[in-house]
Amino acid sequence: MSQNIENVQLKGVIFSPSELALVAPDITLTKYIKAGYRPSLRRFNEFKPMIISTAGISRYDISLLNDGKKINELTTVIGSSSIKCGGTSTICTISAGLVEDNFEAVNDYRMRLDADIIVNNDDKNEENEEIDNILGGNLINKNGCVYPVIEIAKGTTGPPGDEEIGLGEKLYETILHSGLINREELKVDVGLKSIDENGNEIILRGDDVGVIKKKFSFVIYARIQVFGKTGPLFDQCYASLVKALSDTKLPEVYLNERESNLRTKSGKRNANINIQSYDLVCDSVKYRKLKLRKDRICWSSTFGIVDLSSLNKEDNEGDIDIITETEEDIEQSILLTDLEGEAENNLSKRISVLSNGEGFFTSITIEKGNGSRITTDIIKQALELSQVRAKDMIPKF
Amino acid sequence: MSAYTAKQNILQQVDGSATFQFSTTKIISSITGPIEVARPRNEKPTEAFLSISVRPSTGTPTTREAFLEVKLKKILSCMINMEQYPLSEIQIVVQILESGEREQFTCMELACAVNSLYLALLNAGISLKASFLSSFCASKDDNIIVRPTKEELDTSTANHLSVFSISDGKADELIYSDSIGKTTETELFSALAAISSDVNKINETVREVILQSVVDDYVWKF
Amino acid sequence: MTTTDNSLNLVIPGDSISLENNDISNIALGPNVTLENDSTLQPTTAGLFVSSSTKGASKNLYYVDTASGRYVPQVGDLVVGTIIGQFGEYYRVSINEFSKEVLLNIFAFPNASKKNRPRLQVRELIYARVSSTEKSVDVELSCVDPTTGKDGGFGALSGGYTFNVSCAYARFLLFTPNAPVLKKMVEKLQFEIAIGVNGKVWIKSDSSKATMLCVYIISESQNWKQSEISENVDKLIKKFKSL
Repeated sequence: MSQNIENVQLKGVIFSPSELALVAPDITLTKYIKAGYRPSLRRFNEFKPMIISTAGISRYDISLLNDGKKINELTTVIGSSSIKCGGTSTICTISAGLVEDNFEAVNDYRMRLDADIIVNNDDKNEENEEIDNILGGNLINKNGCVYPVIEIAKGTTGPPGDEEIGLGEKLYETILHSGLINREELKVDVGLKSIDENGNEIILRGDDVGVIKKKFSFVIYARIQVFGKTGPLFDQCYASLVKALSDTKLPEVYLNERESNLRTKSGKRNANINIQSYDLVCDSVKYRKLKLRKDRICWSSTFGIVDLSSLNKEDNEGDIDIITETEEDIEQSILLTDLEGEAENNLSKRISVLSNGEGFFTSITIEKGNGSRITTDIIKQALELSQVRAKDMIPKF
Repeated sequence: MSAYTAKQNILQQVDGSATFQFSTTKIISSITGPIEVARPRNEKPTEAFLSISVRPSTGTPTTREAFLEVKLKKILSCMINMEQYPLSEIQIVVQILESGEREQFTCMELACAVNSLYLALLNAGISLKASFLSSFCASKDDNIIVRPTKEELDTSTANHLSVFSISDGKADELIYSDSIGKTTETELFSALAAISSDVNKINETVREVILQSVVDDYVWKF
Repeated sequence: MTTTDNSLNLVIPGDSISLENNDISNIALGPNVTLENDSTLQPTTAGLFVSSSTKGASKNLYYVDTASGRYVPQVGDLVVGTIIGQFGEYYRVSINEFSKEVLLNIFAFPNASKKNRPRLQVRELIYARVSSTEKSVDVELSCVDPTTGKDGGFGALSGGYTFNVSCAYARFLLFTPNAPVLKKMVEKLQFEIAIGVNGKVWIKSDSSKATMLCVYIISESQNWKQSEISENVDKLIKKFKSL
């Protein structure tokens, strides 16, 4: 053994910067950070420019491509957006479905039992409360939600992975809890299509439509496609979803008169059962815009935090104003904006903030990951920086 | 504020198990490992692979549970000494026995799952960097309600969940924090303060449970 | 309450343990502790903190003993395993449920040669020593006593019955001279025993009934205090005799 040790020779291996970035991304990152820059040559707190636009592919978009026609008849997409940020493109399309609000099951005894609302009261308000309770209490009653599906193009097909599910579920959660969409806004005012004495088509609304006892709501689905992933995607997905929602136009819905009421004999005992079967038709031309709550429109910023244990101050010639100094002054945490590239993507210490630019936040996630202690300072910095960014970006929606 | 109970060593056929209950939310979790990686593609040369599955109280797992798994993985992988178990797998199963909240919320289940997993990991003898516990709160009209009930959660404007590491019996570092709903900076910090003091409180009981369980394991020694 | 008893030195992760003498060159760390800084240790699991300075040895040993957890093989461990297969020059041996199987060379027996070696069958039990636990390589067992080159009690275990106890209890039974429960059993019963630190105990007595009695006593004794052993063993023996 001792002989072997004598023969050991240590040779320095030299990697070119591009090789080192592949072999040891973390070392490359530290080297860059010490020099005051990031591998993407951006500053620590420099955001990436983001181009936000409507994709112009939805049904009610008047586009030149469409021969100047009022609607794009080929699609059922009712809102769309396209976002480009560095090498990453995100396309979001919105579609909608109709659902009955007070479904049969509400009056089912078992459902009442589950929701702890066994009351024998025919008061109408009570009934409404019951329905609210089953549907999910105050929150769901006030806030509308979106069901997003994320697809990250990887060159392979298959079921959605952890990341895609995580993104989709986080979008759903934040949209729902932030109250971006008022639930009232999703309710459908069903009209009755009829023909008046003069033979013109008219649409009856409100009290004129006696037959419709049921209420309907829109359910909004979003499909977000991401191409060219370089870093965390939540910021871009959120931005594209909000942009697409602000572009969303909900069609007018009316009832086909012919099929408004149907009486039929069915069931085991051939009893008379009144089946209200509705043929709901969405108007192909008329629409209304989906209104979002302006104060709840947020901008999402995800920050990565790098810990440098012995940052030599002399190395920093640039004026880096984002560096925090902990009490001991040995360890420094540096906030990086808009993470990009493998090394930055590997940072597990992150803060993700959704800010409306006016002092409110609708979601704050702090992950310590494998980094050092998260300080109050760094959280405050992240919140502040996200506000600045939000102020800057929200007008672009 | 709701009560809580904890119990270790429930299941015999796994290496570690525990239940944790926050009044209406009850979760049992189990740990098996370190064992051979079930799928070779999951094998990591330098650290353990955590296979986490969350089972809902009713029905089959959905994207909601998948999202909980993602969150749990983030929390656990920075608390377990992962590099101690290279090329191996640690199987983690979280069974929600009673959800106690609406499906639109996850904070009660996540906090409960984190706490039960902490106990189960200790029971399985998995090497941990530090102790950790979690709690949650809701905010409404500038009030912070620590460990709210289902109804209080429904009417709140925002809810906060945090995980703190515990050093010398006191909440120490912030490991993970998740706030959703309309909130402000001051509210976030007061929520973090409220949760950390609640974690201190929970820790008193949980510590007793753990130490009692260690003593029970060593009955034959005395 | 026993838990507050400081003499037991119960620790959980996050508790810092300060060392009495600050000389870190003089300490040896056992399982489940990490060195936090020059004078404090951190336990990585819940258990009993043990610090021992054996006479003659220059180093102080610190570790946390824990009863729970999966058995991880270490060189020198005495284990009870089951042969689950054979390929080439190796037997495949299972020493723990769901853990990766380990290897036993067919020549890892005293004086084994190509022609003259023990031929073990699948499902047979063996008592062996862990001979190597290299990283990324299968763990290997050996049935040779490394100091004498003889069998040293290792080899196939025929007949009898194997069962599981907690790893800590197995260590206690194996390493405590005159473990109280075994001492008591020896007074009343005749049996052969092999204890593996992997939590497996093999036991064999004159009859199946006597074997089951021994099994029952040992597995139940995990939940007895030392003072209760004598009484409980007598009770069980009496109960079995009446069967």
